[in-house]
Amino acid sequence: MSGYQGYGGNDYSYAGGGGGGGGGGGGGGWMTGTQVGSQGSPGSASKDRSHTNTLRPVTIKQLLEAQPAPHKDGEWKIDDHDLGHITFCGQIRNIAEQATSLTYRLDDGTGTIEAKQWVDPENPHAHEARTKLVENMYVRVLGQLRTVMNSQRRYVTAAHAIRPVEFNEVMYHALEATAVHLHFTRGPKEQFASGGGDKGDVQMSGMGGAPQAHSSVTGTTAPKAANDPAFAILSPTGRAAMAFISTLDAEGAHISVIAQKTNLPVREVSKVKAELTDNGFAYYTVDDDTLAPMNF
Amino acid sequence: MSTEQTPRVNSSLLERFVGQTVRLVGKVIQLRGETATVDSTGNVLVHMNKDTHWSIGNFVEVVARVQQDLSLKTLMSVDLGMDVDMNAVEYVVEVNHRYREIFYDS
Repeated sequence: MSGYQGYGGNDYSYAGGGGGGGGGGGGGGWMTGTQVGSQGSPGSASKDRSHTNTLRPVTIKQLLEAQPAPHKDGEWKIDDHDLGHITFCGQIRNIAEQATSLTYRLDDGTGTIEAKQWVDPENPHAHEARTKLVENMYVRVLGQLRTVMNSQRRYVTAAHAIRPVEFNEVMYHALEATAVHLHFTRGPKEQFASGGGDKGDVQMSGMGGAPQAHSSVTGTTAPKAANDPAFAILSPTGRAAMAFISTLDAEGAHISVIAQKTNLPVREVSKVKAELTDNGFAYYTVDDDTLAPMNF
Repeated sequence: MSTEQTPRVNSSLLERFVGQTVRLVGKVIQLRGETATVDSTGNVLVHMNKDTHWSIGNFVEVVARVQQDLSLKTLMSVDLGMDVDMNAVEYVVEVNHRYREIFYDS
């Protein structure tokens, strides 16, 4: 009973904090950007909103080097793309407590930046939340990049979103930030499916998709090829296997056949079985070594 | 700003960073007085500081200065426990240097 009430109560207060708090200190950081954007340039209001709803994983170095967006006060670009919300992982170096806010100095090895979290003095749980965070702890921050008024100094407003993370998440975050950076600077990874230098890609070099790697980014139109965007979340081997499996009917094919048709070792195809089935791309038919395509 | 940057390295990258401050993750395999041996894709000798309390078998992250003899002088460290995905750590070390532009200034 108490558990149920707690859930309902939290849920409600969260929604209230996001909307009703907009006029007060708590929501100020979140709401002002959108309002300024729509007042300042009504013509492009809808365009402005599209990126304020994005969330980009970044390193602190990227935040310190973000370019102010021209003609859009208080907005930023990284890799020439508009920045909405950002998230990063870092270690707490210092915690400074003010009457209505807490300022965390955070370090991710690429630089340091302050994250400011507004504290509602009327919220009885606020104190518990802040004592969970201590120096040297790794945390994830979700917020928006700002500059201190009349200064060049940058900080992040993080309304209620600083939480402890385990170290593995810090590593995954660094890889995710790299992947997104590469996506914006070099194009979607699909175009590299058959030409990459990573271990997993080596076996792809002899594949049917190889010639397409030399065409332009936009020139890859062949449906259900290994570089089909539908397979983007899969590993290179998974994509190659799906390129063949997607041509099959509901009977499917044994992994030895899939291996033969894709020029991949059976062992490699066997390794991606779970990846394909877990992600809903394929399913097992007569046994655990026979795969048929889902939704094709 | 660059003084606040600590590139992520493993044992094989130490010689490129002599005299600089780096960040290294590894498993503690030996403790002897003031020094420890940490496996980070190869063994590294770490001079601990007085705040260091490590356990053999645990993973640690050290922020440390690389000495001439490629040992590390600890400035700060965190005990990461037993559950660290060293594959992910290795990938992060690799991308730190391959795509340096988002991690550190050369």
